[in-house]
Amino acid sequence: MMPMENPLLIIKDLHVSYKTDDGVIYAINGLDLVLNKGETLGLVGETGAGKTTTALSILKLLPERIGSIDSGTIQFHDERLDNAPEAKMRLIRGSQISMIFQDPMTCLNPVLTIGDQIAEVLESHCPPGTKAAEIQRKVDEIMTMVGLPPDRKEEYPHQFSGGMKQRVDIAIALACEPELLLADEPTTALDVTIQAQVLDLMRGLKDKLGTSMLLITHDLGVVAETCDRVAIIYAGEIIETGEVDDIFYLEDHHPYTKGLFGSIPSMNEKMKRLNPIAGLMPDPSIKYVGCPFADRCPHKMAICETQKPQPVVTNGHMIKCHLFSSKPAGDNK
Amino acid sequence: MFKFILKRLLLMIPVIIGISFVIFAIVSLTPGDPAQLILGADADPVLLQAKREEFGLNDNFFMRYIKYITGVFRGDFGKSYRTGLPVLGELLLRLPHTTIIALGGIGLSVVVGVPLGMISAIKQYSFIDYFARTLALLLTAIPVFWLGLLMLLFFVLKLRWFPATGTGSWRNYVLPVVALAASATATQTRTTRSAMLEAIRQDYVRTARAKGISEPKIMFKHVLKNSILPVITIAGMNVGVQMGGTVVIENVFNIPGMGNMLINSVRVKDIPMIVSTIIMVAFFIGVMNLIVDIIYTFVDPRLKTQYVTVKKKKDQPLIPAQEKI
Amino acid sequence: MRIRKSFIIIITVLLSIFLLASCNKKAEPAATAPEKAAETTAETAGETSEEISAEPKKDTLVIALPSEPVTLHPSTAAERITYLPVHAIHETLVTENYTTGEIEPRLAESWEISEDGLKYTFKIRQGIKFHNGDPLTADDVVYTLNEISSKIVDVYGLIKNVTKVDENTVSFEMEYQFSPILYLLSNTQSCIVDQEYYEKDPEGYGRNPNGTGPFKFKSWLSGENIVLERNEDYWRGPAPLASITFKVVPEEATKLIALESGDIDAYIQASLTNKPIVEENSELKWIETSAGQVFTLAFNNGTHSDGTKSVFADNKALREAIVFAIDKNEIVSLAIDDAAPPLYTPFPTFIQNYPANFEGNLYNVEKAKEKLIEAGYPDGFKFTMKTTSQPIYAKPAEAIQGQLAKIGIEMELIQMERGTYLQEVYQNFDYDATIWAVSCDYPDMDSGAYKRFYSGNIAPGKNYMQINDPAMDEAIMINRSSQDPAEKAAQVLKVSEIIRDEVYALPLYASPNTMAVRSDLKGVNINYGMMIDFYLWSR
Repeated sequence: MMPMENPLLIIKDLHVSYKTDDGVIYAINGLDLVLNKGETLGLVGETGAGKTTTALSILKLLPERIGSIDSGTIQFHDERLDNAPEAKMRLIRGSQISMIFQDPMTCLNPVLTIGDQIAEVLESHCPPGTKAAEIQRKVDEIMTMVGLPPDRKEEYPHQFSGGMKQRVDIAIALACEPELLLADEPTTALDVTIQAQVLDLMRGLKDKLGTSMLLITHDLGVVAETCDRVAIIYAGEIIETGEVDDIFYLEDHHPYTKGLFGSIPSMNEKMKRLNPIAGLMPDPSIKYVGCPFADRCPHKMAICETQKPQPVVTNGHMIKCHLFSSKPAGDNK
Repeated sequence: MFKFILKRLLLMIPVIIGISFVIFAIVSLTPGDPAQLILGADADPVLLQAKREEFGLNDNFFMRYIKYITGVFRGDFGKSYRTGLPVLGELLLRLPHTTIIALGGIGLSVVVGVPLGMISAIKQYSFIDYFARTLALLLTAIPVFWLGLLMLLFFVLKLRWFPATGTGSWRNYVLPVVALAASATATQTRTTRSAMLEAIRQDYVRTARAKGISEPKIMFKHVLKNSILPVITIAGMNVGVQMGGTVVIENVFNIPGMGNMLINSVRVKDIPMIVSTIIMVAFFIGVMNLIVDIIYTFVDPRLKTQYVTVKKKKDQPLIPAQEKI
Repeated sequence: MRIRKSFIIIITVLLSIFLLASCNKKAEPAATAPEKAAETTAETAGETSEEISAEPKKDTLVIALPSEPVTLHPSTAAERITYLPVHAIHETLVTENYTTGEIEPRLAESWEISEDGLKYTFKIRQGIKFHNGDPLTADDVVYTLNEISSKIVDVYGLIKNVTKVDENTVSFEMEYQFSPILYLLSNTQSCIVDQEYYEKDPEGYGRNPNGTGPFKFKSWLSGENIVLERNEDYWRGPAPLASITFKVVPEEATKLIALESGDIDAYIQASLTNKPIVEENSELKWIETSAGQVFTLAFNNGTHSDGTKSVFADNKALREAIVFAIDKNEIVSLAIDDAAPPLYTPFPTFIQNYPANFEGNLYNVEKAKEKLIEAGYPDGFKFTMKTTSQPIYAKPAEAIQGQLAKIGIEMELIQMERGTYLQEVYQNFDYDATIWAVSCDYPDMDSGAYKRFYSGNIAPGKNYMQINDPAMDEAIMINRSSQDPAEKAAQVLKVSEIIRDEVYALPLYASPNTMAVRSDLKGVNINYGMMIDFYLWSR
């Protein structure tokens, strides 16, 4: 499986910042990401690393007046999204790219019926003149597909459980059979048994519809089960990407990735205690020079403080770390 | 729903008893003799005594209250000390004026305040937002009385668009309604704006955007419908404020409503009139609040379940999809 | 942030300018933007102004009253404002000429007083009809006199043995000689009522009266207006005005605006502060007459309801200390904008036999300080004054407070709601000093003095100053019964001197009765008792 074969989404050197009253927050700092057709890419990182910002940047749903794409490109098929006008983005959202949000409790409108909320996305993207009956038929179909009884479409979100609400979200996201699905921690808010059901459902539907998926999560277990490829994000940058097997079984890793794995309890080995990564992510309001992980890195070198590491690619497995730079960093220039 | 309304109406009885007792006590037990106030400072002592006898002012306070309140529940609000006429007839004569002004004021405040608040929220930080907010600030800060006088000077005296006094035509009600609506419009604008902004920040709005729904549709369908609840609440609360405001407004614009009458009655401690007016106002506010609560259930389905027994059959498995997997 | 703030400031300034512009009545009509706005909406404005102001040769009158009358029944009418409609509908036996002060015949054609001054006989004018067509009879007069003498004992109680002598003659006797009785019979309360009509529906009479006057009752819209229309069959000939509408407008500012816009044609009790505005406007006229109400600083010369003595009782020097510390000229300027001169007698100047050039106690700080030491308060003194919160009383009280402070007398001012005030001060005498008006309802010293200064009247609502002075009592009683002008004059002077020398009270001023009217009204009049003869009005 060659990664660059059939790219659906290419993000290059993306910079996103939030301008708040307290100053500027640099959320994404030169992020590169490629997602191929039909592929599921897991975007893994800790809270505040920029996972959700990445997804929102793709849909251009960053908070108005606060969040903005400063530089870089987002290319979907052959089209640039980063500078696309709002009218065009509106047509893409929900039909070609759709998104499932983290908390099903809050992301459904409490005063509209489930059926209405599903129908809405269809109405927005169906060719004009589509009959209401046709839309209703499709709503029924989709509800059945995600395992919801269609006769409950007149009910309101508060009458549903969390897992069912997430099914509604999935139904909404997949209603127009999008090419790309951005799933932002779709199972985090659910309890474990429901998590499995929802993941199974998503996987099943994705295969059925041939949708590509960007699965945002901090749960490596979910990644192992669901994803084809994995990208590790840290402080708004991708520091390692590769096939699931590369990440899980290869020896060479970015020290942060190693730290991530170190902080998961293992069933096989006997461990006295977990090894969480010491320290915190760098302050996002300061633009750092050098490697963002340097402060927490057990293998820190002098160069890490001063110079950004360049990506090192071996067999499609990319690591951004001075430890793996083939040449001394000084030779780059 | 019917049971709910009936229950609420019945609950108003203790409220009315409580309010009327407090008002009755305040008016009766504070110094000042109604007979003296009505007959004037220099009234003949014999006439004064006769008046007191006529009003039953020589009786024990509790006896007087019980006599009054039992009368009220039989539909007899007593006779006005001042005019000697039945209170109820007088009240019903005044009620329409006050109702027109109060409801007109609320209606206008909603019609102006809600769209203004919406635009203000949708176009946050725009010119119109600053304008609406400054206007709201001004309208809240200006005392109703003063605003009323300014309007009289400008629209009556200078432009001669409206008559200064009287109740003959609709033109008599325009200025009082506008003056009364001013501060309510301000609260309505600000409430709508903050409720909209609050709703705009909600996850479901982001979901709606992610669906690719057009912005106007998001605002009207998703945001407005969710922010309408505090808007209705404020409108309902404004009813009370408006009823208070009518006292001032009716005086400035010389509308012979209940507020106007209340002032005249308080001046001479016309106890049956004062207490009955307050009961009427309390009842009016109670009914308006009930209407607001009923509207709630139509706007927010989550509240509906509290009042209405769900007719859906319960035998339906709640989570059938889970069993499938 | 800075942009936001300046924006708000700009908007606020703009709006304030707009608001101020609308306040400025002198603004040039054509120059202001609002006027232009009026032109562009000419359609509505034209139509409206036509309805409001353009009418063919108006002969109606709309006059505003500060509050709604309670009843239109003469003998139960208690407030002055009620007298206006009542007296336009009803008539009295005799009437006072407001200009000369003389008693003139009205429903009585003529009258006779017996030698001993005790028996009065009235000849009733023939052919007079009530508004409903009932003829005026001697029975109606007898009935009315019996009603008022039995019900308003205070005023008319001296009337005894009312007799119908024949079909058009009525007589009565007085308990003792009482010279002002004819003035009392010209008062509104003694208006003659149609007995037969009244007795058919006594309760309803107050809202559907029936008199002999120049105007007859037409309608009463509760809280809004009372409409009278011309009595076409009036015995003195129909009045020039076709109708009078008494409109209830409590708010002074509203009244002024309504007057300026032609919504009303007149209003009584116009605030003195609005005098310049009315006088500046050529469409309006300011009417002012000396009034019967003497604003007085009253001391409690007796005891409180709990038996304790008032601080001013039996301490003449202390009362003098206060009186000498008060500069009436300043009070008059602060309280009523110099609308009336300071007054030194306890009576208004229009009463008969008024002592001209009477010398009162004058402002003298040195004397005040001496008296204060004499009174036993060399280090200053503190007392409490109670007044109602109405500005007409509160303003002079505040002025006095300031003046007393200058000589070290601390006056605590308690302003209270009218009902409370009447009860505490008027009924219970629980006060040391107050400001109240001593009113004269007829142009005889008796009107004020008997009720307020006579020791036999130390009772709730009467002689609340508790003046108990045999010399005073004597003078009052002589004046009461005397018909001799010289003797009466001597008594007026005597009472004035007692009040001055014994310092039971300090008269301050008699603030005028005021009225603002549209200037096209003719024959406009208002007397000291706020009575108006609408029969004389025309336009």
